[in-house]
Amino acid sequence: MSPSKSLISGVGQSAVGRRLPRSGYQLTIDAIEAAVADAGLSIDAIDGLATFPGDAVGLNPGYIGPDLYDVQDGLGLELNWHLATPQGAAQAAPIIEAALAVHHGLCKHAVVYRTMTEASAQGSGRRGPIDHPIATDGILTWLLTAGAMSPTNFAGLYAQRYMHEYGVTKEQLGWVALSAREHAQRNPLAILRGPLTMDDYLASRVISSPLSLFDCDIAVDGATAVVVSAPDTAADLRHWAEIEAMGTAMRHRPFWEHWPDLTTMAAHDAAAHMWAQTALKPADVDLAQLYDGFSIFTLLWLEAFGFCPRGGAGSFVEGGKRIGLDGELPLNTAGGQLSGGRLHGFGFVAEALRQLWGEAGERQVRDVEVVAVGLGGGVLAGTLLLTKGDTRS
Amino acid sequence: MQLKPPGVLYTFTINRNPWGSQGEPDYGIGVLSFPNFSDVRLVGRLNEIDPEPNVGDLYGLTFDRSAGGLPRPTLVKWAST
Repeated sequence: MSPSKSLISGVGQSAVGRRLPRSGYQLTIDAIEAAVADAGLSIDAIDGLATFPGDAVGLNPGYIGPDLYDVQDGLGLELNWHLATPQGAAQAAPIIEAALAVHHGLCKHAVVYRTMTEASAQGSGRRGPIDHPIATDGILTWLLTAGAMSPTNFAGLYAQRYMHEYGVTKEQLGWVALSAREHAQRNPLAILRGPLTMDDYLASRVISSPLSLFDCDIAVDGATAVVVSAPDTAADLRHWAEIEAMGTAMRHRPFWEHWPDLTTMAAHDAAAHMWAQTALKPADVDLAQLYDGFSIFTLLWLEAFGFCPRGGAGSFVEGGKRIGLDGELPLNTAGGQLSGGRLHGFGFVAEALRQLWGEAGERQVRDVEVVAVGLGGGVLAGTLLLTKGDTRS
Repeated sequence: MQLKPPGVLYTFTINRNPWGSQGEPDYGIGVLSFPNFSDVRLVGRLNEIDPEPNVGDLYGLTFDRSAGGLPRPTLVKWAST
């Protein structure tokens, strides 16, 4: 059957590593060329280009990928549409915007890329703080003034409140990390593939209570690109997934500490927004790719999507069985960012597509038809509901 | 509105990681809520972290000087103010 909604037709990734001898630009070109080939297209078919966050100021070294115009120029693209923005539905924003662009005829095939070189930028140091001066305006003003210098601190505030309110234990939180590590062992691109036990997890050093080392994702160098295509191009594509629904809502003040209920995130708004656009229900989802910049985010995403009741995510993940590859809701099947590496959301999109197309190798889940993707944390969120499309080859 | 102490510790985190070469190693950050003013929260540095606080503890708010010389909101256990 011909699709009626926007498609994702290709995915490509560069090498992924802790410190790679390639620039962010080179990694980006590697990923884009792979994605375009994966779609069965040639570079000259690409007439749209987007990225997150683009040439934004005030962000940390390694967080910003190559400039949109450098990529356009380097690939010789003739663009009908382009976008780079740090504000919007978290890292999903450029994919969602590209879906709207192809649907409305602004372009036919848009490449969307996200590139990280945070591992190289860190040098031999650890995860860096927010590296700009304490601001006198903006959504982080008060947190920075109080010394909350890292997103780990922000996430710690959410985790503390959530665990207090619902009695969720550190061990339950740990199952997010343990499950991710188990899945990463079947992902040759994952950064952390050695075994991780609950004892290892509980013994790891505290970063910002109640979060410890393995609750935090790991910085990497790497680029991911996807091709977003118009539905009327399906016959030209090697394969495709349909974007069944998207969620972009953010309905409260954009201050981490002023979010009305710190046991929720913007994820809850974005997920509700997404479900309002589709006849599908949480029970129809075959697997989930839920942002895990910090393990607490994944628990909150599970509840945001309605995969378990409010306060029930700790019990849901406990033991790892439900979220395992053979479980009722396989979760973060490539190891997420906790073990796979911090590709800043795009790794989840890549894995969702590979699972839908049956290309996930040793970690392939059977009969995958519908995948939920939730990107972002705290006051930023975007969601995608992807369904399986045709495969031409 | 006039906001009167004490506030209630809505959540907190104890930072144990020295961010950057000049980073302080261990300190607490808390968020206060005020039961009679549901829209108001204040975030500040906890004045002590040993023993660790509990969600629901009562705090007042003062200002001290950060290392950079800026006034920094500091949460002080209500019983000790």
